Amino acid sequence: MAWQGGTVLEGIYGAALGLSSNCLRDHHLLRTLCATVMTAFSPAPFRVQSIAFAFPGNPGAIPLRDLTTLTFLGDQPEWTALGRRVPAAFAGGSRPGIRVVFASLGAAPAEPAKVWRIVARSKLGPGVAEQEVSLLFDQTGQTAPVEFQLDAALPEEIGQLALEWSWEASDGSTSCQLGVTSQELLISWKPALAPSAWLTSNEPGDGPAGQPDAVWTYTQIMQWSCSFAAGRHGEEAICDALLSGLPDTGLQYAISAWNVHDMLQQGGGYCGGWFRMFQAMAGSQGVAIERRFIAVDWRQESADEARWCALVVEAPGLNREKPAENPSTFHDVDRHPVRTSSVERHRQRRYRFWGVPGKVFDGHCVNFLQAAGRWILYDASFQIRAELENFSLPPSDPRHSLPVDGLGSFKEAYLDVAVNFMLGTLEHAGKLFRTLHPDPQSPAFRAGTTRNGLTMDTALLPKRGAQLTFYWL
Amino acid sequence: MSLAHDHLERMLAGVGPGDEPYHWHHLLGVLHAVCGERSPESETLLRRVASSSGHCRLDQSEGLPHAMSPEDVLRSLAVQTLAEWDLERHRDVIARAAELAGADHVSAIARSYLA
Repeated sequence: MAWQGGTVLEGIYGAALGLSSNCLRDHHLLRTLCATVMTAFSPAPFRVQSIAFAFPGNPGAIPLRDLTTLTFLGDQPEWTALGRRVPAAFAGGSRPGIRVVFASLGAAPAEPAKVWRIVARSKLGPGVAEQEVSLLFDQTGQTAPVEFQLDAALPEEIGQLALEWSWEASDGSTSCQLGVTSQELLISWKPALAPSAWLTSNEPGDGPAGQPDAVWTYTQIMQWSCSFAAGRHGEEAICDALLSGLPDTGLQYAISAWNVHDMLQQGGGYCGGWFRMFQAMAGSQGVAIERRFIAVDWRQESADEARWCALVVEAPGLNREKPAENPSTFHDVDRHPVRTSSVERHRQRRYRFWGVPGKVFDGHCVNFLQAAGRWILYDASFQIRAELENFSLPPSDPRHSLPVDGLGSFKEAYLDVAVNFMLGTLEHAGKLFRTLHPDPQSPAFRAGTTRNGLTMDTALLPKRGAQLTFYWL
Repeated sequence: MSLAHDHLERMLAGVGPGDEPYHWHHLLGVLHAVCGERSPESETLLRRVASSSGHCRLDQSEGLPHAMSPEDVLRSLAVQTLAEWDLERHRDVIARAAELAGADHVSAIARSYLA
């Protein structure tokens, strides 16, 4: 027992409330409480032993998956008298039930079942509706789970709700207090969306035991999305808040991970993981967003020239101080007039998102939300938001690339901002700047690195006539 | 070309060129060489790449692919190259690659040839 040195009553309530024996403040509170109890209540013959929230079939419940064990928090009661305290998640406005087990505090369980009226009052948020229950304690001194209903619906607002319930029981002649229980509830805007939208084939995907198709999310994702988007209403406001909150996840760009599970485990990922992570966060709030992989289209235009071999990005990405690539030498053309301006040599760390001639290879991955009649682009990796005019989201097509001049304001609103340069093998002012990867047939292959051709400032490239094309998948 | 094949074999086995692992630019160079010129050796090797579920260990100092894992990068390029060379002959490993791919856009690339 945690409580020592007080009266028997203090001991009972101290244990039920989870108070420690060496805290003077707790001691004072407890004496005050017991004095009150002795005037109005009899000693409780039983206590709350456990409370289950996200059990199968509970309306509005969103099962939360533990990243480490991959089990669901709701597989066991989220609150127990033994000290288990884990959150549960529900869609805002839902009115779930709870399942409560009671434990006898007597030396021997009461033999016949006895009828009690039980209620849990709350100062903040819903309490537990008063209900008449027949309690029968088994040989272990515990009841079977008893289902109760909340006395009000959960708030229709995103956030974290810290419930504190004061439990009371009455058998008609005597009333007793059963103690106080607390529970963290994560409240989403709407019912969460199926994880199939963001899962890859090499992540655990099934829902809790017995409900493989249940919509679930990772605990951490629900905690983040409820925190970042607290109080927000509407898809755009929620996505904006999620984007703003991303640095607080601590997750970095350019960590060796390309799916949500691996990102959470390793502390970050590349864009192939980030656009899934952002989709998972939005989905946990019931917001459906699209994602697209925008792949480099390396077009060999002649024996000598190729547009474009890679996207080049100077920004370090989320929660990084510098790009996670060793410095290399770039030959930049970054001013007008493009044809005659000088080439600036820079040795810098920059990301290169490579293409391969004539094929879909690497590229960048971003999300899209359609709201109020237009598309908004969210680039979680580099924390960029762009509103696109006259844009329609291209369907996934791995066989045909699309020129940017058919994509509304995509180039000026996003590409010119996010992608500093386009790397090509190009002739400039009579000199050929060739992009070359290390030649595996060469003895120098082991030490070799890629040679960059010409890097053209993306914003200087005309929308038409620059062969600025991408595959959209 | 045999040197490029040897390097790709070693990458698939998770072995580096020396004591250090290969880096991303080595992989790019090897892929350009192997996929750039059709030969029986390249076809055999790319069939293995497409249907491999192994792990490709790369030094990260020169960066990594952004949109997909190195394994998916290899799979994706092998699928596109084999489909270009002889789709009917390689249909089986392209279907296998669609199943093995972690990223759905790699599966989509493979399935686009099977439709």
